[in-house]
Amino acid sequence: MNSNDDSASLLTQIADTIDAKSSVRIVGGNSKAMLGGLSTDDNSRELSTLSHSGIIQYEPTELVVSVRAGTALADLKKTLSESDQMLPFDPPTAPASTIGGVLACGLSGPRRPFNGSARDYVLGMRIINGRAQDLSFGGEVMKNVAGYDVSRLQVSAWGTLGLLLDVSMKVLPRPEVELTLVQQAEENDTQGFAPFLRQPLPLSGAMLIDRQRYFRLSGSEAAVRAAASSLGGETFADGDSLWRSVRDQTHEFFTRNREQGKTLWRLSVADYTPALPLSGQWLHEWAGAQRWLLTDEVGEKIYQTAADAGGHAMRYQQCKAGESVFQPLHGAMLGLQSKLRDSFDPSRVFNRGRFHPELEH
Amino acid sequence: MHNVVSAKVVTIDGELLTFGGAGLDSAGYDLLALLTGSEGMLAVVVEVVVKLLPVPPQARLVMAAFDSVEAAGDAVGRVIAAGIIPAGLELMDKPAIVAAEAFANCGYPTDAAALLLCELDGVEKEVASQVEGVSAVFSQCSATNIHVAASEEERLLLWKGRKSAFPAVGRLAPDYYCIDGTIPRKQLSHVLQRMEQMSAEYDLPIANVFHAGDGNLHPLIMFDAGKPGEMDRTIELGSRILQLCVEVGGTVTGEHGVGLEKINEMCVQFDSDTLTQFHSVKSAFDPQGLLNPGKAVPTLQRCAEFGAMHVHKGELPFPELERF
Repeated sequence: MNSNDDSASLLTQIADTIDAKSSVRIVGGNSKAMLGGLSTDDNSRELSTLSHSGIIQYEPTELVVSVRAGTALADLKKTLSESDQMLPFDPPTAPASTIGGVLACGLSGPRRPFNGSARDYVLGMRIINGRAQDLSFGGEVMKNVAGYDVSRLQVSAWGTLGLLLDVSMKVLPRPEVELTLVQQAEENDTQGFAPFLRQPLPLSGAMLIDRQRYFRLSGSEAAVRAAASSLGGETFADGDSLWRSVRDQTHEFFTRNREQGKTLWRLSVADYTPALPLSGQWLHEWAGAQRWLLTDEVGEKIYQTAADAGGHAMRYQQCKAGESVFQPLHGAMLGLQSKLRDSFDPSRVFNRGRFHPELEH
Repeated sequence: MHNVVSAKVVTIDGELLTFGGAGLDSAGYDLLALLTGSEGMLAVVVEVVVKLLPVPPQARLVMAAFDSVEAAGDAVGRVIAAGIIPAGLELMDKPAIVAAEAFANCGYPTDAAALLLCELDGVEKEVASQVEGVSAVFSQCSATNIHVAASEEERLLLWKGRKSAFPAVGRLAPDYYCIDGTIPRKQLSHVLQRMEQMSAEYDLPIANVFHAGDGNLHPLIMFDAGKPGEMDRTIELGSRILQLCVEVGGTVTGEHGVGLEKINEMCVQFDSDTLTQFHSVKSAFDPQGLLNPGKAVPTLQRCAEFGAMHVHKGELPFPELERF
């Protein structure tokens, strides 16, 4: 298969940056430039992963694909779909997204509560750590408990524990049939999902927008039809584009914030958590476990509300200087996470300020 | 991994922390991912929250016999290529079939070279179409016998044979040693052939049960600890099987863990830089190494000593280390 291994050059660039006591900003397709904190190093240089791309190995009957981090997500998905397979965590996909970026940011789509997360499908990774060492963790097999699970730790570390080079992931067959149903609901009725979640239904999506609750069913035609009749609701004709638009944030709910000047937040809480006491407009995804909020409320109040519910919040758009992006870490947890950052990147060569700036000290 | 929601842990400093949270992810690094499978090296787990799933309304079992292990292995790949992901897919070789049948009397065809047990679960109609699909694949793969359990009692009985394979093998020899390695599934027949050669070389019989769906192999080496030297030979054979798993792109442990037993084989799977990174992770949590000392990750010195005993094609592993 076509592939372009640029790991030697990436390794040299990182080693040189460490020698110069400087830092790099890791960039793939730059589709997530607006996410995360601002760089705290004015002299940092950009390190592009796009030169390190291509599918290394894909064997549909093994249900495993190995791919270089700079590979375009769209290309990877196309290759998988030619064998009727897919990335089961259903990653948000912008035209320029790379698989490395999706995994570094730990992004999963509407199937996440039912299929599992980006982390769950990672089997192995090759990285360059902050000592300019080329390291491999995990592997290409489904079950592997040798050594600490460093490859899954890298998912959602925003590149601050190393540069992702190659990754092996588990893939699954695409469902035979999918069907979207819509039900009328009370506004922000986050607890309306629960009775359906307790049933053995082949769900692959559950969200609440305005006063409409949507479910997606996936599986064999017979199973989907049987589930649809016990679930109830109207068939929604263009389900595919609805779920895609929410996943990729091209849905009107998300584009609205640009017009209204509101701030977009992501809150992650238990799905059964009652409606949260924050003003603004809500879109409840993941059966209530992922909540998007368009609001004028201040960050401190949002972080506090999320923490009170046992969850966390993230500012999900370009931040300004002085604004925090991630739920702040405190006390012993902050100390531990900071030491973990030390253990991979002692001189803070990677993405200074991008992820939890409190970990930099 | 999918099903651990959060864990309350005590750190070596005596702090009580929660990894994970009420939601599907948490702030900061994914410490829960790192903790899972870390063998008590990083913190003491005192409480866990796990996700529960509704019991599937129906489960059905298809049993298929083959006249070669290769044919059975090939059938597994073709089931997956057909887009079917069974809830359970187990393969047994002839020694395991014979032992299990003698023990559980469950109706296995003892003349088969390999047996597949394939369980499908879900809603009734979906299961019915999958049973049909799987049976068709098995018949295309020249299965010598395909049987769908006719009742819940029979389904449980057929599973009983598989589940008692370990004690069943235990009746054939005074002792047995269970190995746990994972391989890419396509390497199955190659690995089984190599194991057969090793079994002859060491004069120790091996029975195989295999979680075929995920490539997890459990060779059971039969031996007699009462015979001088046989225990040592068994351990050496086990180690060679694990090294074979690494050689074909697999791992020295699929689910049982490293502990103390496989500490040497970790040196085969990981290079010194990677092991050093593991030690740095450990130090971040437990700088003095007080939690489970000596387990899970070998010291580089240990690898050098182990390597000195196993010179591979004239190349010393970890040549950069001083040897004593």
